[in-house]
Amino acid sequence: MNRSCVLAACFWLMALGGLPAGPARAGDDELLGMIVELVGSPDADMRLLGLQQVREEAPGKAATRRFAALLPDLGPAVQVQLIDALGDRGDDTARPGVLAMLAVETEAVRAAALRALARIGTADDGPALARMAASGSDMEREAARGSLRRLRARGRRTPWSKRWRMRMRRCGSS
Amino acid sequence: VTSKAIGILTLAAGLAALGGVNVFAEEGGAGDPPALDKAFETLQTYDWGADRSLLNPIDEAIIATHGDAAARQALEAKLLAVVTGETTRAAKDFACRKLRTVGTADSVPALAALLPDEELSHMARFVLERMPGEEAAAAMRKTLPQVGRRFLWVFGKRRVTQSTLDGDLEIGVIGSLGARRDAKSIASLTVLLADEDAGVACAAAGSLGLIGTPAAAKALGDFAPTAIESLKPAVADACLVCAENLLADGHASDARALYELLKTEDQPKHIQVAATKGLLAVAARK
Repeated sequence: MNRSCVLAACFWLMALGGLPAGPARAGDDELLGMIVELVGSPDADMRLLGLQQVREEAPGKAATRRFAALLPDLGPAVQVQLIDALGDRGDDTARPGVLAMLAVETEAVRAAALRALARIGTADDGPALARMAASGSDMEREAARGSLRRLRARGRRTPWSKRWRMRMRRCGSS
Repeated sequence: VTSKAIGILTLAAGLAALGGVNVFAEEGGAGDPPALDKAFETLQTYDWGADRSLLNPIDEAIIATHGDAAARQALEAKLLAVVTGETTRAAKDFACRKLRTVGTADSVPALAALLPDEELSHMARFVLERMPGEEAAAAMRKTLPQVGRRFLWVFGKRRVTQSTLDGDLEIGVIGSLGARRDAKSIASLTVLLADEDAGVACAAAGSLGLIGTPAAAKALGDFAPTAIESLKPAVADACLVCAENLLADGHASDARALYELLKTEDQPKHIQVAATKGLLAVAARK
């Protein structure tokens, strides 16, 4: 191993060491704890404050993971609010948690999850959205169609919505 | 056309433009003393509704004397003569507005003398509130109750003098000191929190909030639990403003203490929500 390789390795080690790996600051843990408490609060005003924080504050993937992990333990009404907030937050780290909500019993929660996929979904969510756009309840169909319109397949040149429309046209012509 | 020619033309145009600017500057008030003198003569009897354009040379002189301390001083003296002289209220109002731009510590005594004047107190504060330097704040502070030092602090009583202004005028001065974030008036404002005039007490709380130092926070924090019901909203509002200022100035622990005080169940819901939001901001700052 020559000297330049050693230097390069040192550089990357230093660079990676400087990257924040989750909540690096003492205040972050406190902030996240407060937001989590507010989101689960029985008081509607306090809960809205917590959801606003989910939307706009506490940046970082670790924070998003922690917020998404709250979903299974909340009541349906709050689940809808939190899913909407996670969608507005726009961090796709929440995607697995939101996708899990597509399997819950409450229709409004499933519709909220479909809506959120417009912001945090990927190309892989296209088929599920298409399926719901065709066969879901009224609320689900509307949400899935809205998301299909907005969802752009990542890493592909054609947006999913456009490919879906093309496929529908092909089905109609055959 | 060569690049050299373009360069020469650009230079020539720049010089011409600078020459033009100079000409305009000289045509302004400072370069036209007779017009300025005439404007000040007109100002002596000026009243609202009269032709305002006759006073334009004064505005132009203010612009033209920018950066010229001696000329500005002369202008300030002329404006002060209007303020202290036997002129109309409109003329004094106009002169005060101009002093807001050119006024210095030299104007403070004359303006301070107007503070008890029901008609001109507002305009005097209009100048003093924005004037840089300690003199302006000191002049306004002097009108508030003065808190004397304890003599033999174990036995002695704290001596507090009365305000020299009444009612609304006092409220105005309190507000101006708050707007200046004058930390030296905290002791006087703390006394005024307990004033029997609710307007004065509310204004004192608001100004302590604006001042926003740890000492102001302590005064508000100590007073808040004892405040009478009608004062509570104003005090809570002042505490929120104070906490925001503390946080902005890097006193996070003082800000947190105030927010915690407002987050209690006995506060109205909107205050509790605002305090919680403040605590989130404190946590985010850590």
